[in-house]
Amino acid sequence: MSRSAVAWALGAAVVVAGMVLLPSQLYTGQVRVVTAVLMFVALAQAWNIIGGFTGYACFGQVAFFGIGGYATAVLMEHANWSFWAALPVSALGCAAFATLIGLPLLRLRGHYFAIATLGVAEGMREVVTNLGWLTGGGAGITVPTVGGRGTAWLGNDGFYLLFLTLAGLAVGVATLIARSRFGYGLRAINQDEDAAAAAGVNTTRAKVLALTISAAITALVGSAYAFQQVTIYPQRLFDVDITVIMIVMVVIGGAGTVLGPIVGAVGLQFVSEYLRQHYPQEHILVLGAVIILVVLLFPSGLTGVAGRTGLLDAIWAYRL
Amino acid sequence: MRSRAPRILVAGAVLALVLAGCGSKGTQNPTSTGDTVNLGASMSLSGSLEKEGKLTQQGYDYCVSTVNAKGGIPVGGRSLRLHIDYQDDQSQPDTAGQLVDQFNDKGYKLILGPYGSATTGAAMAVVERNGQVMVDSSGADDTLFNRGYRRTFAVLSPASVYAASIVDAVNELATPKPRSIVFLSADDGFSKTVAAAGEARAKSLGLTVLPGQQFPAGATDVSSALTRIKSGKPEVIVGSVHLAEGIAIIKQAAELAVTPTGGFAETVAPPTPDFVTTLGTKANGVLSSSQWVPEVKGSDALFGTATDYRNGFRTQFGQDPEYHNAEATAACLAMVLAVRNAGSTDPGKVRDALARLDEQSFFGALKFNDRGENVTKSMSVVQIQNGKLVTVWPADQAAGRLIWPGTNG
Repeated sequence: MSRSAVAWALGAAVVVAGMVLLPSQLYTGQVRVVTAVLMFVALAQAWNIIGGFTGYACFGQVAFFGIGGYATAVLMEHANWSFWAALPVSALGCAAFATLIGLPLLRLRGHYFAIATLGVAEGMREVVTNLGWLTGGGAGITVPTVGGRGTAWLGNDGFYLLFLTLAGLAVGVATLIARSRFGYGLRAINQDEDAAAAAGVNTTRAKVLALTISAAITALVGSAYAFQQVTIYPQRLFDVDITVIMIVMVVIGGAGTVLGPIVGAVGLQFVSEYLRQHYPQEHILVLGAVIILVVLLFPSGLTGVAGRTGLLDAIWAYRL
Repeated sequence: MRSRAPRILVAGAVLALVLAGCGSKGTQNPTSTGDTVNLGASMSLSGSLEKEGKLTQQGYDYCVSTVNAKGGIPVGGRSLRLHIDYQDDQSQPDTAGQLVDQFNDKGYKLILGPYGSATTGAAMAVVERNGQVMVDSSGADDTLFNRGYRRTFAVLSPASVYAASIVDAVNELATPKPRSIVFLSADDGFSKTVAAAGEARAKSLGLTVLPGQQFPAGATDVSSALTRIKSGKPEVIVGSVHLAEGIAIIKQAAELAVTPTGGFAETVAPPTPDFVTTLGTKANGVLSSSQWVPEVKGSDALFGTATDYRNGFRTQFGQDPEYHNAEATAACLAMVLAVRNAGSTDPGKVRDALARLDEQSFFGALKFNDRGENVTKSMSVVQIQNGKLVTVWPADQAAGRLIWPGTNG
């Protein structure tokens, strides 16, 4: 093992140990804030695979979040599944759904793809709302967590570890993609799809696979979110704001890099939380202004600036 | 490569230390600091419920200014000033739950409820887990109180009373007495509970309840539901709705010539000023139930009678209070009375004082059953007459007579 690999492993171990031990140092509300940050790290990283690496701006990403959440809630409530069985099955089901819609939708490009995926998310919300017998409709559905049914609620620290695992999984998958032949293919599609095809990249397969992986990770997060919230409603699970937040995080941090979505999610969530706590009446206005400023000043994202100024040149050296 | 790897290691270690250090537990502000009682309130200051959230905030603010102007809360021989710390939950239940946890971190054990049943439900679960105490000002869905929680007390009448009180009023006052009724309902939990209870009440009074219809919450097109009920010729059409669906029912019923021989009634929407503004004369005759009207009997030492409350509120805000304002002030009042009766801000003692509370107020009776619901308070029934809300039921609050049929206006 080379010295750099050992250093990497040690660095990663220190970060993981720090993150696992973190809840012992935090109050309950702070644990929930960090849990929400980890959830958005995973979501932003998932969007980054299709939107950042591949360059297909999926404005309907929240559909996968909602499908994951509702699949878990329905399996637990109506089929008496445990959460741990429902979690992977929800992700697999959503991956299959993404493959099916990806085949026709990924033939569209640019604005057309964005609008079509937005339509999928809005449509899925209506489907879930109108399947009242299965999903509870607008009244929501409650995941069984008490009375011997379902799986016992994990507690704030338990959900922290669950979302930490999912964030780690998302970052790990993105890292593997970034350094693989498949990832280079996605970047090629991003830069010039026709040229990528001419160079031998099976663009249809690569794009559909990217969307499928992205959807599966998003569905895992949606599934965990449904269990954490206990009662879920279609308005929230298919809320377009969630997609917008993912995209803003990726753009602010740096699209098409692994570190960018992490920086974007952590930065935006903490700034948002700080503003909400200190400026309860004006926080959304101020946050909007901050986002506009960051996008104007750093069009290639915060990691892009850091890389160019030599502050974190390792980001570029390691293609992160 | 060799020179960069240690830098990554150091960066990782620093990040871990920073994260671990940022949350190091320190001294937090307790519920009572010096001469102040701090209450926490997660509120819809933005998002889909912003309008109602800000009305609720006004109600809480009026409570704070009145309590402090009258010398504060007497606790153990001292007078404590009242302070409410607001945080914006953006009308999202998950955020409301997170904010109540953060209040607990700060040592705020006494909580005033957010706006709406969904956010209240999320907050209730956290309050129970943390050993906090909450007075709910607007979460009316009965199902919230089936979860076995013992630390939340709701000052408002539960959802099951909203339509049932309208049915009672029509049955008592309408001449000729209607024989058939139908319920149209939005599909959110609150509206479904309201409609189910209204149907049960109508059946118990011997009315023929025609098959009801549901549509998605927030729907602005209810024409298919209206078309389906038209052939049954219902004499009374009751909408279990919020503002958007309520306006759609009246507007589209006129377009489709769905005219009941008795009248229309709706929950929640008609007392909202936008209802009359949008519908104009079409709003006349529509019945509704209200958590509070200025004719409510009862008074208390802080706010006086309901009329005193209206006058005082008008002086401070330049407008008459509506029931969202009043129920918020009443929730704050219940908390203040409980702290006073407990002689302490200890959450356990305040919870017990709330469970024992039995007081009259400008809002009516404040007394909770063992589920935490205020079941002794009645709801009032109002009718829009010449663009104004007129209380018509119960008899001891009536400011005018019921105009019946209500569809002739």
